Amino acid sequence: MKEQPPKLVERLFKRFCSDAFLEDLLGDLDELYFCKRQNHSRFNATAYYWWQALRLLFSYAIVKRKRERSLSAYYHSQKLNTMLFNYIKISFRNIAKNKTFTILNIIGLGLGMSIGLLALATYVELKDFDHFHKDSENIYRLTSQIRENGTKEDFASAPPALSHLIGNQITGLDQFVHINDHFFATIKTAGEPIRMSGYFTQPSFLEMFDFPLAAGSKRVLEQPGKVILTHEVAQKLFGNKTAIGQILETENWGKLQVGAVLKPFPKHTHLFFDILAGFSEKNALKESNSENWTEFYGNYFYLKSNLEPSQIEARVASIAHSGDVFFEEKNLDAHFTLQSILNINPGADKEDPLGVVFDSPGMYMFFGLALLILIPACLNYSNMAVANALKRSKEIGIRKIMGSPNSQIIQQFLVETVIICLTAVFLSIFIFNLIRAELLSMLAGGTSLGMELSPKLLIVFFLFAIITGVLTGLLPAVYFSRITPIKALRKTVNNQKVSISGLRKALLVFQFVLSLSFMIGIGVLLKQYRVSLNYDQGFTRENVLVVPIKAENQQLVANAMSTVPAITDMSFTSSMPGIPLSRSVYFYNAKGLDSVRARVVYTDNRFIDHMDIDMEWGSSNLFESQSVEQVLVNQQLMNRLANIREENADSLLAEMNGGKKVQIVGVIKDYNHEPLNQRIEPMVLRLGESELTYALFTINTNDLVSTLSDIEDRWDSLIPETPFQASFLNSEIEKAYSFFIIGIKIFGLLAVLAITISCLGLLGMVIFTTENRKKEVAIRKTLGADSMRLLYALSGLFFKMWGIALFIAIPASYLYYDKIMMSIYNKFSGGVGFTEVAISSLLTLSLGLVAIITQSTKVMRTNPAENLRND
Amino acid sequence: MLPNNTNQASMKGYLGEFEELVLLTIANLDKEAYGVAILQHIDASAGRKLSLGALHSTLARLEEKGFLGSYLGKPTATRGGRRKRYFVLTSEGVFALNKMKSLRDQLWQGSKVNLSLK
Repeated sequence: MKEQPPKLVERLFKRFCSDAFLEDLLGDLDELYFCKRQNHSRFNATAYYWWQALRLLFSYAIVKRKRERSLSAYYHSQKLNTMLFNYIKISFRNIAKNKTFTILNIIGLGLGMSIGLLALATYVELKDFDHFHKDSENIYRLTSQIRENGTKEDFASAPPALSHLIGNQITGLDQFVHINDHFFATIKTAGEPIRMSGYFTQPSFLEMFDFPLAAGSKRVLEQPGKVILTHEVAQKLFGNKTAIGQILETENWGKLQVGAVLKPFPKHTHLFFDILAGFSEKNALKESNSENWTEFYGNYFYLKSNLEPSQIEARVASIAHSGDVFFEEKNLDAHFTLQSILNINPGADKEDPLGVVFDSPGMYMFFGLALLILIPACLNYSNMAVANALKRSKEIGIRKIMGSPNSQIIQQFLVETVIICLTAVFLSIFIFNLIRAELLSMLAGGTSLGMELSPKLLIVFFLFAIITGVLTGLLPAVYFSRITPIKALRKTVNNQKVSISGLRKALLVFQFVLSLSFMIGIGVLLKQYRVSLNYDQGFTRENVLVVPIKAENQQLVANAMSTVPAITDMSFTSSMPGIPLSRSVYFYNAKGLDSVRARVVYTDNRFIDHMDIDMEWGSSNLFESQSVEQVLVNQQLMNRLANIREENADSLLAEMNGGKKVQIVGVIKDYNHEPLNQRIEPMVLRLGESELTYALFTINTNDLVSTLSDIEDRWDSLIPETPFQASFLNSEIEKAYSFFIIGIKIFGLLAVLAITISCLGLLGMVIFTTENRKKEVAIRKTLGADSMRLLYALSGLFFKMWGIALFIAIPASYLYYDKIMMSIYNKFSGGVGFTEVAISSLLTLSLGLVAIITQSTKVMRTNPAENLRND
Repeated sequence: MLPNNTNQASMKGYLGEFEELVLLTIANLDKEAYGVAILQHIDASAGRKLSLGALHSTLARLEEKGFLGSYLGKPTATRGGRRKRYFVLTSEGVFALNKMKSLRDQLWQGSKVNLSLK
């Protein structure tokens, strides 16, 4: 049999060009196909045929022929617009006719789409990341794949040994930069030290990436002890004073001099730093020696080149062979690839990431959550639209009789849904604006996102609304288009389907479960919060005033305040109790192989007694001795130390990092120095006059205002250069639990969304059943049924579904929240209790009841004669 | 009146380079000038790979300008019984080609730079 070119093309042409003359053109196309087929494969010829056909389809030749055949000069191109205009007109009339229906739908879809908008905005913004660098499409990052016994791991970092090799031996690179992100400078100031994250890097960093300098030169990265600050950090530290030349006192890197300051730069970059320093002997050079292949955490390489990535990869592979020995020693196999910096966000999930990375799996989760909220809202719309069919049937019947094909009915309903979605998206954008800031504050790396409403974002939002509208409207549209005109005009559309299908029941139960579990979640969080605030953490917190001081003023403050009559007791510490700790030291065992990390708190001698902290053993008094430092440890640390120092467990001498020997003179009973959600970690208390940045005063007075002003006066005369700041320990601790508030807000939002949407769904379902059972209700009424019985008949089904939902939701949320409390919040309040469950189910139940009863009573109240007469 | 008719009228006097090529090819092919034949001839002589759409657009424009006429041939077995559309030069087309050639010759002769490749 002779081969034929694809038939579809001819059909396509016929449909698209209606009755324009095509015979000669199609003939030409066929001939071309056979010419091509003579010396090419069938696939090639078909592809060629399609290509030619498409080019022809959109050519001037076809346009001209269509114009010649059309009845009027305008008709061929404007047919679509006229119909669309008609659809829109009819849609607006229908929308205006069914106001309740429309408002319910707009609320439902608006709420449903709001989370979707957040996800979209995040995605759109991430797509824009790092585009502002010049020639950003030519900048790549070197990433490593390490295989060990068949398991493969992807790292964003690469071996430091490559640094010299790539910089010197690979040709064709425009720029090359090595970044090490282990630069955590903690800057000492009054009160809490400022923790900064920064990079060790090379001057080429500022050439490759567009971070412009405001003052100073990038060459300072070649000088040891000099750093570059970002605009924000410089503002925070020095305000409007010139930052250049200032000395920063850091805890771990000594004194650093500010050599240059950056201008403000766009936030849309995965590189996240406050401070930059050059490589020097002191810091990361030891890690970047030429033999260091296998320990590469925190070392990143960026390169810029207009070569193909595969070419560079091949060159890297050839020089990386010298590292194979080192990897083989550890049974590893390393392979290096290039990743465009434009693919970092959102990108593959890599180990040891640098800066702000939102990986694709996380984005999928986000979109999943958005769909979880959106899909019920869309299905509710379909349900309600179908339930409303009776009201629309006359319109559809008449249109069909007038000769409109199914496709026009479908288009009518799609246009209607799209209009409703487009209106609803305004509500979504409003909600989006409300919750944007909250979301950003809780996302790790949220500071890099702005989520400002830009024209581009708005276009994306409206497209999203249109797509949602089309998908949502499809089900009711197809349903309506299939109604036969006779049925439609006799209003017998729904009569054979009185019951609700199993799928819809399952959907409703699912929505109930969702809203119940969010509600229970709020209850649990509130309980946790309440308990956290009132829990006895093991130290006194009443009437304690906290004043941040500079360490060098400690003695001065102590002397001056001891004469204030209202201050009954005082002590000094490096960190307030009840607030997370940042500093830690390591304790080593005798062999120096294993270590225990311990949180470190510097205090004066009064601290333990002042704060009423119980001692387990020993004395709370530390003496500054010349030979061995005396320290206090908590029980946790004592137990761990005993474990690793079996040979002389009772010597009470321990070794800290740096080979420093300390003597343990007392053991403190474990108490929650950090917030309750942190476990009680090993902790050590040391004396350290130069570290005391908080003064704690116990105040006993009847006239707080005058006492405070008295203290402030003394402070101002003593230390005029630092403003007096004071707060009560209680309120500081409350601040430390503010993450609960964020959690409660998020759960609250999700619960409101889920409950509203499920109530709308319920309402739709109730409308559907009651509308279809009007006749039944009328007959029951004439036969003498009372209203309770009728209510039961109409809504008994929903109560049953409610029961099922409770049956699923309570055990599920009990398990879920209890597990979460155990792992994240360090369960201390007993998890899910009876009250939360009872209150949340009652609340959701009553909301649902309102929906059911209002609709049912409406049907019950109508005169039965009305319903029966018309049949 | 179609809105773009004025546009066409103003275009009438000009003959684009590609349009000239198509007209000359049709003149070369004489009685055998239909879509695919023109396409292949241009590919063979000028080495240009065209799409059928591009060619037919140009043919339609030339017909609009009155440089070309066309008629349908007899049904052919090779193209599923479909007829070919043959194109012929009108006298206007011949005139336009002549005008173009004389303009070229004039410009060549008037050239002050030695254009010969020898």
